[in-house]
Amino acid sequence: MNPFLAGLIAMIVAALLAFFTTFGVVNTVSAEPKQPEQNVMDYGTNQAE
Amino acid sequence: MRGRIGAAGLRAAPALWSAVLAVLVLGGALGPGYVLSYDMVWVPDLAVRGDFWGTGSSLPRAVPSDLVVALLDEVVPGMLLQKVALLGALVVAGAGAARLVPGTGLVGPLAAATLYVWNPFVAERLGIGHWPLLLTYASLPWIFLCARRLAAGERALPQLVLWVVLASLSPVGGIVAGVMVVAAVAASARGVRRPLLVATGAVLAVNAPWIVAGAVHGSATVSDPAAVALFAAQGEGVMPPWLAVLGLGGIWNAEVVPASRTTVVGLAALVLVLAVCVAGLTTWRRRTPRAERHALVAVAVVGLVVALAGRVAPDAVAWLVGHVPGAGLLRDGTRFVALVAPLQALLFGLGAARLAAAVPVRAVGLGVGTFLVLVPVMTMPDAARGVSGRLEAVDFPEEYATVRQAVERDRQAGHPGDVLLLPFTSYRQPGWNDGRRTLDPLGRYLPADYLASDTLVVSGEEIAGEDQRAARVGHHLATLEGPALEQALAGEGIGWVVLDREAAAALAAQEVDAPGYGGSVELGSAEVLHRGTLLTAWQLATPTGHVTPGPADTAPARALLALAWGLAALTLLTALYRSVGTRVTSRRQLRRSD
Repeated sequence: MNPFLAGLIAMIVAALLAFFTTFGVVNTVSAEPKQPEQNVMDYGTNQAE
Repeated sequence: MRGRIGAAGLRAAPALWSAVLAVLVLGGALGPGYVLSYDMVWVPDLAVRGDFWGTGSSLPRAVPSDLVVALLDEVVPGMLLQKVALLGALVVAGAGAARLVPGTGLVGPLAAATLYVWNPFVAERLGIGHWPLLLTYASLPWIFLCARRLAAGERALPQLVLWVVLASLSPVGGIVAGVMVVAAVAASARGVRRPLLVATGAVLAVNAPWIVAGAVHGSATVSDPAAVALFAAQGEGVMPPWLAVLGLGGIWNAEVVPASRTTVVGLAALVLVLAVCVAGLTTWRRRTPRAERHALVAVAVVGLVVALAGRVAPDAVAWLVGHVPGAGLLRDGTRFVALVAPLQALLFGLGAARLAAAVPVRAVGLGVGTFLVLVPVMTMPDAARGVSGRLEAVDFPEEYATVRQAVERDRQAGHPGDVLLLPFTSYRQPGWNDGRRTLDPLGRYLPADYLASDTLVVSGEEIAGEDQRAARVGHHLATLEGPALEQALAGEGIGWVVLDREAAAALAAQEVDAPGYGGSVELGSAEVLHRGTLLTAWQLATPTGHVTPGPADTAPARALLALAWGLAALTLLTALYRSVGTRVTSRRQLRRSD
């Protein structure tokens, strides 16, 4: 096989693998972490639930 | 010819790849409008005003960034400038990290660029709106490279100064850049005294405006020690604080942490990245001079120590913050995690390149390399699309422009004073910003100096501000009403009062509308300039009595500040002139040799 073509195919396969991994991670973390109720004037919270 | 194009393509690849990543990360932030997220507040036309020089009663936290933006948006519209700053920071960051990786090939530089652009530090600081710190972060690899050239005796001082200028738009940025400069130059064993003195002098000159502005505020520059515990590094998901920091995260504010960091994926990502970094250690030792290694390790250790200090030794840091002027800059220590990133990106790049090269079949090695380059993206995919929608651009309501025009008309008619922003709280969640939390943008939108609360509330706990004038005004709001309140406010140099009715209603709905916030203030004797659904603006009568002066309202303080700004401007202009001169000379020499 042409080395250039082989390299191209390997890169595409790797990119597809990365895409499916990303998809899996997105499904795992689709829900945002719960935050405690905040006042409107708060800067933020350091208490993740 | 083809070879030249190929070489140029290879050189440009990391910057182009960084641009792709930057567009993916910023997402909706690049659309029309302004991104308002926590401390990031950009407005259409930030007017130059006295306080931006460091003469205001509040601490000069936004010196010199506010003045730089106010001057630049006279040429480039604020909306465009914000997008250039955000996009440019990430592209420059990625391209710089790629340059750190020695040797040929693309896998190493691209992997380094990916990790440097796509990591928790970038996502969290974008979320909390620390854009000047991201410019510092972007400059760090370039500062390191220029400082190493300077230590080697090359003429790199002008370029180094220019990068330090870009890095020093905030006080913490200036310190982070200074640490990198000193470590990178001092790491060489011999002949560094002169370059070290010159480089340190340049860093001090560039940072003189905020140093002097802080100094003239005197004892007001000590901060509330309670902030140390509240701003200490936090764990993320299953990771304790020290692991979160090692993974370039650990910010105090859980609201801006990407969800992927709070699951087991965050830990898996850290293990994977560190494993690749370990694989790069041998190549790093072989290809890089010892001094460079020492410098990068030293700054990374400084970054880790400062980031974790508030967690490991909270009492000691709290004492420093409460007693040593300026030590408050250490209270959000995870900002110094920026110093860890260059080493990690470099090792990740070298590791990825080594692992890809170790595969016997070249084509499969390319596949492995591609996969490793994409590891940071696939383990934190929620950094994409404006950090999962946190960075959407919005337009300001029309009422903002109406009030701005009214205040501007008054100013041109000679009415003096500053604008007081009510409710007297720092942060808002405007409906027109889709409820996203932001520092009150109204002050920056209006054309005059403004007084806003500098008290911060974190998880319901108050961190006292440093501004004595703000404290007095808060007291007036809590204890006075009617004409007595108007007179007291005028005596504090307040010329206008603008009430954000939406924010006041939100405080009332949550039953936290204390009198000191002024959400239901009545100023019967003041002239109403505007009364709309979102804002009410009053013009107070011109004060007849004594107006309490601010800490920088003295002739010597103003003279010192003028000197500091002059020194910084002179250093910048000299560096620009020398940098352009060096380039022209090099090109002439190249033409002659052709």
